[in-house]
Amino acid sequence: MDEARAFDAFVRAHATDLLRAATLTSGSRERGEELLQDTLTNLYPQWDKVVAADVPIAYVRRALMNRLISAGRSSGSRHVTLWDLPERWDGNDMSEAIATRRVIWQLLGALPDRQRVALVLRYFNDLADAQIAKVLGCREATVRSIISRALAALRRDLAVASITGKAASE
Amino acid sequence: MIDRDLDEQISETLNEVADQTHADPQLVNRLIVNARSGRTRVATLRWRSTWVVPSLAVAAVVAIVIITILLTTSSAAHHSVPPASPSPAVTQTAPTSAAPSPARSATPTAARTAPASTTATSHPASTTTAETPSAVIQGGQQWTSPVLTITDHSLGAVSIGMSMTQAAHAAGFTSFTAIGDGVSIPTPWGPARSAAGYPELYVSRWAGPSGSTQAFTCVGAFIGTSTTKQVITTPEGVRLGDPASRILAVYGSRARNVPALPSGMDPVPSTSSPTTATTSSSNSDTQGQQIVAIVGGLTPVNCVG
Repeated sequence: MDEARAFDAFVRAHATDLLRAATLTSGSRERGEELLQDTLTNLYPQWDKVVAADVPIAYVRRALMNRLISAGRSSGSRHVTLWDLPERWDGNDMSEAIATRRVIWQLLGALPDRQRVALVLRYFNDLADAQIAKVLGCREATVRSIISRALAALRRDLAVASITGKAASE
Repeated sequence: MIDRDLDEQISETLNEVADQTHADPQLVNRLIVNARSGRTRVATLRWRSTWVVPSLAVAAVVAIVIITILLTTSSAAHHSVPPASPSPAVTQTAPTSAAPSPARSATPTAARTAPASTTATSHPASTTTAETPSAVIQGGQQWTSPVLTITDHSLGAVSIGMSMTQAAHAAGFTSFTAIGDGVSIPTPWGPARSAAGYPELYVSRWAGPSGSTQAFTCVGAFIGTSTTKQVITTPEGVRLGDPASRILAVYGSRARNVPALPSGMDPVPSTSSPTTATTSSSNSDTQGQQIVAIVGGLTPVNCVG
């Protein structure tokens, strides 16, 4: 019962942080909720391991990312190429900054899961390469390679989007 | 578009999406309840549905244990004290599969005559077995009572056969609020109560053949996030939150295991009797199966899904 209480307390304390991580890596609030639920349900029977971890939130975040990546591998359907837009971006505010974020958000969805997870961990969670390597279960050099390829793909796709966007508006 | 530093743009994009993402208390409750009951899906469970988690969780489960005790007039005649109440039915669930459709079973069950409203407090302590906790089986329990007894037809002072108004007054409130799926909770209870560590209490109406004339046909309680603030117990002393093993320890051979159907439609025991209460339990891990719901009703299996 103590573990049940510990679980409750943990979820209440970190639900928003975890939901954000799940949403950013899965592409929508709804998929993020599903991913988080799936992760918590699978961790609950072995919550003692989470509690015993050096940093429990990092343990859960790692489990969450791994479930996302392994689900992507096994599903056969690779990437979500069109992500749900955040509510605030659905309105009429089409300033350049918002337009750029919309494009970047969509392009993130087109990246392979591991690349996207690495970017989220670096640019949202501010993790160092060594910490990202632990989450992804790889070496630091591999992390740098993954992020480098992801950024290259984003730059390329962003440039294409910029050109096609201008062409469409002319 | 790419003039600005890409690193900065990615960071701003992620942070803006994150700023719009918050886990409200209702979602947190769902996450906790679902994780405990082994449910891996959350999207179909909106807040109101958390009140019928017994239905949803049980629909997903591997096994249902139904304990039936028949109350007959003849049995009363053979005992020096009134018969022990009801036939609690116990549902034991396993987390191995995601819950399918929460659709209620349409399978007909044995009809029964609803107990008169006056029976709400008709189970004095003397009717209980030796295992009954001394603190329970007090008549006239309002739903705010720290200890509430659930029988086959009543939860505290609320008894099947009452009107909704009578039930609300018996529970210590002025009214019930319908929250969907035929489930009603006292006004103004809501998710905050669960978040504060109380079990969820409700009446519900199963509009099947045996319950069509009743304002509500089921009473129930299930674990919200904790059971530390209120004890829900059967007359025999099986409590919400107890280990599932307690069911067999208390009811012994009277317990009956009824597997749930893969479709999510619960099978209905052929011996479902007028005096059946239902307890449902789900296990979230292989070591610690826990009773997560107890319901009573005209057709108790329907009351849990």
